[in-house]
Amino acid sequence: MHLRPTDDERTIDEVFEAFFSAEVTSDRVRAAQDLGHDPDLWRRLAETGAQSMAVPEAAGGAGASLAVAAIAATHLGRTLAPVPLLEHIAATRAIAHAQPDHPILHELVTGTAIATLGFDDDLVPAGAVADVVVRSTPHGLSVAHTTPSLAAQPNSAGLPLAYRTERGEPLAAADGHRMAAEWQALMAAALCGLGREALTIGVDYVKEREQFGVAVGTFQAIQHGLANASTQLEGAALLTSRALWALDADKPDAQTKSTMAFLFAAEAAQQSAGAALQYHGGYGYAEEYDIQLYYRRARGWALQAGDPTLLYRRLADRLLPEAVA
Amino acid sequence: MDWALPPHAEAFRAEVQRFIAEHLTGDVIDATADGTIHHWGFHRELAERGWLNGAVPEELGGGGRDALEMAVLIEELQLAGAPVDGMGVAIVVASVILELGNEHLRSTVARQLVQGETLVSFGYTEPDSGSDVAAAQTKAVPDGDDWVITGQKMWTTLAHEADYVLLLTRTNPDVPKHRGLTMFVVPLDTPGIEIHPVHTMGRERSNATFYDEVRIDDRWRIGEIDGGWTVMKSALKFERGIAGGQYHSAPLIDRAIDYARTHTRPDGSAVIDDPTVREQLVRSMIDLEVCRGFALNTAWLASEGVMFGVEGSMTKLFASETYKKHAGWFVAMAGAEGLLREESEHAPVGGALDDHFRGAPVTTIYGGTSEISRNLIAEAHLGLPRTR
Repeated sequence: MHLRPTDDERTIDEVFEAFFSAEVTSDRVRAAQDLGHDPDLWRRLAETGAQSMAVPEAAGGAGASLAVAAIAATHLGRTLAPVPLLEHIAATRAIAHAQPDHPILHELVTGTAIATLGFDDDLVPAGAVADVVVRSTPHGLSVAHTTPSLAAQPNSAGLPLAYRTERGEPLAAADGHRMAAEWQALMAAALCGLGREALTIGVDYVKEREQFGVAVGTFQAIQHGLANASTQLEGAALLTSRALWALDADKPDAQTKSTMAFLFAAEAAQQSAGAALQYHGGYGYAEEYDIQLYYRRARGWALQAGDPTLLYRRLADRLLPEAVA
Repeated sequence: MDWALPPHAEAFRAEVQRFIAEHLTGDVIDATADGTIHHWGFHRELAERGWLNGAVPEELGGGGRDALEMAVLIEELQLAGAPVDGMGVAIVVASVILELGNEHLRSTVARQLVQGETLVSFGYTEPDSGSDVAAAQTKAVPDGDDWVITGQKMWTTLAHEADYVLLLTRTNPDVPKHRGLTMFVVPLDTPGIEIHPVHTMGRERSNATFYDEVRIDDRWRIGEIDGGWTVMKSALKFERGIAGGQYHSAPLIDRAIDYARTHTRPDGSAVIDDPTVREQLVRSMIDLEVCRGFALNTAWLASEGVMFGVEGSMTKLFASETYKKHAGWFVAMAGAEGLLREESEHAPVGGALDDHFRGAPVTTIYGGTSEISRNLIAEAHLGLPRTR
């Protein structure tokens, strides 16, 4: 048992912290809102090896764990980076595990092409920019390779959402549930990063903003709302870490833990961004303040996987025993 | 990150599970029905295996079970619903005495505690000082070699079974409140002490204890004169080391599933097929996994010798608040029958839903209210200004 980052993980964390902090300003996030994707940022990110790091070595990647990929995901969430890194990693890993010599992998590993995953709907995450769409089917995965429209459906989270109806070639022996679980665990990490940064923005604001002659952060109503959100986030981060570890170690409950972490982290991020926005007062609602960017993405990133109610239902089907006749 | 408990802790878990299967009989659980959450036979069995002593840090003469093993022990006992209220206090007070106490206290009280021969009660809270515990007014006045103590304590749970109380007293009213406190270990058979029961909504019996010119000699003092707050902090430290309370919801969820599987709605459908019930059950299971993450993290920090603070407050806040929420959901699930107490032959799942509903509210109060936890998190973790 060891619950601190290793030296390697610390180094990787420093690299991505520096990269995302330097590259992804909130101006850049705003500038990318129409397409929901920043191609130049994607290319710069490829220079760090982010797209290939968690791909198995047999498929041309660096063979890092999901837990390591989640370090990048956390910083992506913290800065709201407009690049489909999580979708790309989950989809690329799914292809690589099923068929390490798949011809598309070379372009995916270098980031020249973008891969994404589809859920139940045809409105696909990163559908506007992905060259490859991987879907779960009853018989494995299907891989569709087509040219994206580069036009997103306008949406409140600034996401590159687009309808993709092509179904593609079957990829046997691939585990679609595992692909979704990996995306959920990575997204949980991103949402923890998003939530923590939203909370930091809120805490900084209430320390500065004065009403009734004092900083509003001295009011217990505000302190307690922030303390609750912070507790949810720390709980989410611990559960996410366990889910990533379970996936990397191939534990039997890994997919259940990933869905749990995703659902819980989504609510924690929404609670944090919601509290931080509320404590900004009217300014929180103004476009020029960053907190509204976090508020919209906390909800929107998670909804890409569909109505969470359906995920709770599926978890229930997996976890609950049947009625006694 | 590696979340796997080490093999020695998992081996210990198997040992604890065998112990529970053998010793946590229906008689032990039934014996707590009068509200005293303690069973001497079970307590002594724990002590006999060296698990009370094992929890005391090795450098203080204990058996040196590490923090991960202790977490496993507490987890398994809680999941099984074992009466362990007395155990926690015994371990904490024995550890405090071994760290700060004199030879007399070490060789008598601490030894008896870890051998399961005696119990002790916390005597911090007073009618006028709960969360503001340092405002204690119970007076201890020196008289020759003796101290004379007068005052009243609230929530001295298990005092009616215990031989001692760890008593926080005021020895100097003329200095800031934290600096005028002194701690004593007071034998409860000393003349002048009265113990009155306080019955609670959750069925558990607690006590108010009254001290009328109680005379004890200086051997019963622990820590420095006016150094009582240091003793309090030591107790808090050891309390964190064996921090339990993360798994309250586990037995409730089990019983709620039992209920839902075996009961039907008025239209004849199974309760467990109700989509709202299903989502609530899954949400409670997720909350419990979050509790487990918090618990494993604090146990690991303790095993690394890290003195954690805010992590303990978050764990306590989250586990107790979610437990209260779950108890509300699952008593409602059963409608009016959910209110039936175990005395009713019709009470579903043995009255467990009602039992948890009544018992849960105390968990967000004792050992630091949710509001105090939030204050600590806001100040220590978020760096917001102190408001008191």
